Amino acid sequence: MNEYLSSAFSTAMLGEYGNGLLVTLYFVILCTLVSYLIGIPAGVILCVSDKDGIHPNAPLNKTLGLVVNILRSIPFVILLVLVLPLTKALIGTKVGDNAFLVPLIISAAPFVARMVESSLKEVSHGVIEAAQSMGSTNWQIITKVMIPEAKPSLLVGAAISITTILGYTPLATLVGGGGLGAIAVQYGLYRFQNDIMYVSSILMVILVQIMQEVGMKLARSSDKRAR
Amino acid sequence: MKKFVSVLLASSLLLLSLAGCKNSSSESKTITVGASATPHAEILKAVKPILAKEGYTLNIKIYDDYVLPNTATEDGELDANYFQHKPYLDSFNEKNNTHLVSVAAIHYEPYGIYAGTSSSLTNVPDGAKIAVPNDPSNEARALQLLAAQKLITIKDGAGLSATKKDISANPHHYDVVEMDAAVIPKSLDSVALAVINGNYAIGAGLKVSQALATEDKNSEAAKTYANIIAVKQGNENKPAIKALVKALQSQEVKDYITKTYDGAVVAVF
Amino acid sequence: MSESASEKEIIRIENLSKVYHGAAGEVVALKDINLSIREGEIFGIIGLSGAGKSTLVRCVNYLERPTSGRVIIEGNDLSALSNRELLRARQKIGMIFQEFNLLSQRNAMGNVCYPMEIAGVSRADAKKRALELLNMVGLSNRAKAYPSQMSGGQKQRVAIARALAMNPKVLLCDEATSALDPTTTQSILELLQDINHRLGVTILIVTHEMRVIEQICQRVAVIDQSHIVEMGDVKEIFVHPQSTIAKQLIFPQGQVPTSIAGNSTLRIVFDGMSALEPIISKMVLECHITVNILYAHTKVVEGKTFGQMVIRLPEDQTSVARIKAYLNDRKIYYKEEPLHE
Repeated sequence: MNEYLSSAFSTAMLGEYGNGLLVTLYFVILCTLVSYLIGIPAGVILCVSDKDGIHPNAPLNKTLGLVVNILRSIPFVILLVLVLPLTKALIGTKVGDNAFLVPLIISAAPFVARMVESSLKEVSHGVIEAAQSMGSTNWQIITKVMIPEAKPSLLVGAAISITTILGYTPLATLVGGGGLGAIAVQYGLYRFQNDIMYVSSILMVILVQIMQEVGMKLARSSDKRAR
Repeated sequence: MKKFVSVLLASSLLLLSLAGCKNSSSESKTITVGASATPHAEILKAVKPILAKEGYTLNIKIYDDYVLPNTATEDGELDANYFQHKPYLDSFNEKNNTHLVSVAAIHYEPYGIYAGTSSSLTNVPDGAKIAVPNDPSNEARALQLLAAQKLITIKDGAGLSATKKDISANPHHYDVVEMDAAVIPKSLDSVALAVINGNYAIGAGLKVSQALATEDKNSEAAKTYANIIAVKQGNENKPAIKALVKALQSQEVKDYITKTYDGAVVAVF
Repeated sequence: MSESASEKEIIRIENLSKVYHGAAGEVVALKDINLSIREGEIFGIIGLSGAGKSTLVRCVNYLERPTSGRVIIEGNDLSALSNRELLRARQKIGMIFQEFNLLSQRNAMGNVCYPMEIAGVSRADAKKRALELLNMVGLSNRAKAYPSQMSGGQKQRVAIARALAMNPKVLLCDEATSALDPTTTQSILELLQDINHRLGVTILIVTHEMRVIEQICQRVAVIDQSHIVEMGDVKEIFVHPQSTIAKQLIFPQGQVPTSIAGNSTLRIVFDGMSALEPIISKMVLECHITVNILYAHTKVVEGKTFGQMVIRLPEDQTSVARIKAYLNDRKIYYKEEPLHE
């Protein structure tokens, strides 16, 4: 057997970790942004069209809810394979980092939608009623009351979503994508190089911890309800 | 209701204990073999009637992964398994402290270079993507095949544990993409060439005759990566095992393989 | 109490009914409500929990749509308005709530500015007006504070300032003091009275507490199980409660405790007369009687007494006549009632 790496901390490996970190961050940041771009409107619609919402619409609510539920119940790996044609149509290739982003976003957006919906539903009904009594339109209620009042909960939801998305990034290796997770799987799992597996996994854990802490701190400090 | 439930319980217990009995003894005339679905289990099915004539009943258990059939053979749950090649078996024994041995080499599944967006090996543009499987032994084999076709050069001695890092020369700067073997056949429109192993090629509906190049029957790869029958150390000379090997390495099986697999599976006996 | 109440009608509620269709069947929340509220008055609606008063006040600004009947505010029939017109009409009706319902992520200034923001008022103008309003409710120094940093009373003041931001002619108060302690309740009621006097805002107060009604309302409607059972001047209802519910509300402890048989009692109503005048002791001296106080529930606010007292009348009719004359003289309301066992 030809061992091409003598240690998990060789200069070659360090370069790989660095690159892997960048790719992982690329995945997480881009996926989170786009998922929220899709998830916030979706979550708003789910909340507002609910039977207890400010503009009940049972057919819309049931349909969107069904789509979200279906996407959430398909195992990620299957989803990845199923959307390969879509990936090709959207970015021109089924292989590589960007190709991985497509199923990652399709998987994360419904999750985010439910988190947003849940946060919005926590907003006090009395406050919404007060806004209605002042002659607010539904759009004003959504943008000036619901979303700002739900801000702390939305931030906590974002911290959770980010860490969940991070947890899926190792699967990038299926389509030849990179990232710390791919390194852990490729070298650690497949080639039984446990030291590399540990190092890249620890790096991911540190990343998760940082993101979680920052997210929670942000949520707490911006919450005006805390005394 | 109560009576019905207790009768049901009693009969289930009885059935279970009988079933339990059947598996354990290897002196019995039943042989249980764990195998991958294609082509291994299919080839075993072809052998069933041959063994039946000898008075043996062949039980085929299909496995999706590459760990359980070995552990089950080690534990005695299986009499033998048929899904892996020797390098994998050796590596598995080492990492998992198992005591499995090969008793016969049956077939190999030639790796092939299949056309993606490039229709021949000579008109591949510089910098194009070539997909190879990302797990160790498969990747090595894929790279060696590419090297044999003079698309890249592999470091001397890298052998069958070569990885992307062992590419010593890549004059056309091909982008070798390591990805999941099962996903490669579905991504042919995104790469110039794809190296696919026999199993997945069959599964994806590709014909080995369509491949732009395959591993030679006499290559080191073919010899090393022949799929073997593995048993627990000590069971090599059991009559049932010997009968199984004899049945498999028969002309009937050879003909079956040639007829059924159109070059994707090749007998090595 | 309020001299600014005119005879002009500002809110009319005609044959209003509200029925909910739930899983358990139909629930009649309101049946055939008819009310006429005059401009500038402070009108109370009192009833027990579940009687329908919250539903009623929500029908006034169409937060609840009546099943039948009409609500006419300043001559506008709300049912005839388009959605857009209804929203604009709401801008002219202020509302405050039991739970305050302030935006928790905005400070006091931000909360008071909200109704102006949605009406398209410029930022600068809104801020200016907000400061005026906060000043009026006595919170100019807490403009930057957030609701979580305020007491209940302060929050309700901010809510009042917010409700007045667009110069409404009507202010709806849904159990506005029910979550506040007695002292704070007092100050809020005073504030409301002040607003009514200074700005002429018509106030509709919904509550289950009689003390709120007796303190600032001129007229009151008593609601019981979706009907209005009694309506009229607060003084009248107080002295001559007709309905069971009114009696229950005015005598919260139930029957007057007594142990002596015979004779009658006199219920004296204190309606803001000077507390400096020792009415009872003077009565004792001038009428040459002894007074047996059976029940008293009074409080003094800013030097004025509010509440009621029940005394047992002496046996001889002369003394009784003298007492009645004394009270009549001083224009103090009373009512004779037989002694309850």
